[in-house]
Amino acid sequence: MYYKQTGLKGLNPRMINQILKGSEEMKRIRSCMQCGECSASCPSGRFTAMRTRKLIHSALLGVEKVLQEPELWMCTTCYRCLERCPRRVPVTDVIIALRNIAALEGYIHENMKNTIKTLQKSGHAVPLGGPDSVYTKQRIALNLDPIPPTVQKYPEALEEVKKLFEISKFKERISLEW
Amino acid sequence: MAEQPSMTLKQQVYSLFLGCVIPNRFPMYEKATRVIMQKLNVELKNMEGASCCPAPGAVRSVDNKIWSLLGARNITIAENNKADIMALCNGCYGTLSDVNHSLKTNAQLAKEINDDLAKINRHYDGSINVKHIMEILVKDISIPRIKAAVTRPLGLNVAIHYGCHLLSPSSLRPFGGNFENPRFFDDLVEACGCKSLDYQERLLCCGAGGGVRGSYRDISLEFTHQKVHNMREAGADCIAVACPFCALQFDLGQNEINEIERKILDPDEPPYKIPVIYVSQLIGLAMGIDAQELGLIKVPGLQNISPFTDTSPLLSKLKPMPVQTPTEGGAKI
Repeated sequence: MYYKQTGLKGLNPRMINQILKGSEEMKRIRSCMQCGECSASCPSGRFTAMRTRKLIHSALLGVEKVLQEPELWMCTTCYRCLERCPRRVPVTDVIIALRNIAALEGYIHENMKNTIKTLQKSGHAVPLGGPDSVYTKQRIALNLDPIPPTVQKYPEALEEVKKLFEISKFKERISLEW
Repeated sequence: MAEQPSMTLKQQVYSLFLGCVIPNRFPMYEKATRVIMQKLNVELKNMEGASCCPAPGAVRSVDNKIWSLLGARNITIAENNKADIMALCNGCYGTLSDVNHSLKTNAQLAKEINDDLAKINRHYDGSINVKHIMEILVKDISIPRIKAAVTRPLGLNVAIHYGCHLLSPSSLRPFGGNFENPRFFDDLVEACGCKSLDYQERLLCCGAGGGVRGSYRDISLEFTHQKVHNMREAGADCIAVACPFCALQFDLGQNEINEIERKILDPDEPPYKIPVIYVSQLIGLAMGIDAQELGLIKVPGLQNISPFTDTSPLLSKLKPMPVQTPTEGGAKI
């Protein structure tokens, strides 16, 4: 509310509330003292402009612009930051919560959209590709069941997965331009 | 010399969670796991109709709700099997184990998930545990029992890559607080007669996770490049992994580094060709199982399949099989 009163543009106090809803541990984000241990531990930060400390700061303030930044998606979720945070902020979980909010706003990488579409259609993020695929042939050569005993072998199981997408109103909530 | 395997242990049973990358891209890891578990007297039940875990990088990042829901559905399959899950992938393990933990500790969430699962006639009970194959090998089967089954000490210099989600978040993982310098994979590799190499930044992430490989492949390869560089400096004969996604990143990734990265950064740098081996394959080799049976030899005549980095330098370094004498203890289970 404070930020709303000051009238600063682009600051959204609802963002932090959304993050705090995630779990009890999330509350520790309030104790972040911006020490930078997370940035120092971040391997992605070594190779890119990603600064974990800044992401956490943006989350706290509700800087909406962070939702559009590609750096938000450069975290490999290696958990070094979460392990080393002296205030035990679940840093990686905060980044994932920010990504969830970004996704609701429609900011998702094209490749990630395609992975989720593939999952919704086939039940796998990386599917076999049917009985004629080279991977099926590889399985046969290894004397394995040609089609693994997953959703790929049981059409009724795939229907369950599709139904869970419907039940969770995934398409209504998240725009993947289906 | 070798300890006798315990014959009194009751047979262990697990629900084998395959995931996506193993059955659909690295099926030899599935094969090697089935072969060694049979030899170790461990029964594996299939999880019929299981889906993607779903992937923590792509799916959890986008929507926590569908991630928890599909994860919970997969767990119910193992509950119906009445057997704990054996996950072969750090990503699958992370997802299933974290979803299981959330549902066991958050009654409100469990109720919401169960309301949705009821619509597909399923119910999450919270009756099983989710384990990574490493936990099963090290804690349930135990290293002495594996050592007892080793008939061919391999004599390889191994660069171990643990993979992040096997160790972290350490408060939710079974290996305790020593996430900065774990030893259990090293102990396992040494039980197979190999030397585990100390190399720079051995716990550095492979670069693939969190959706980074999918969205920003060049960035993910920066991690991999740094890592394989350090492994080569230390004189690695192979990279031992416990996750197919890390495996993909090292195996196919070395080709990608050779083709793209290396040419831009340092054209004089020799190409990277360190063979990648999955933990089940390594143990299988040490148990004297044929390399072909473990899928270490590429299926001839098929294009664009794993392994992408030639494994023959690794196989040619193996010590020959010692001559077996029937009186030698611990050779057969």
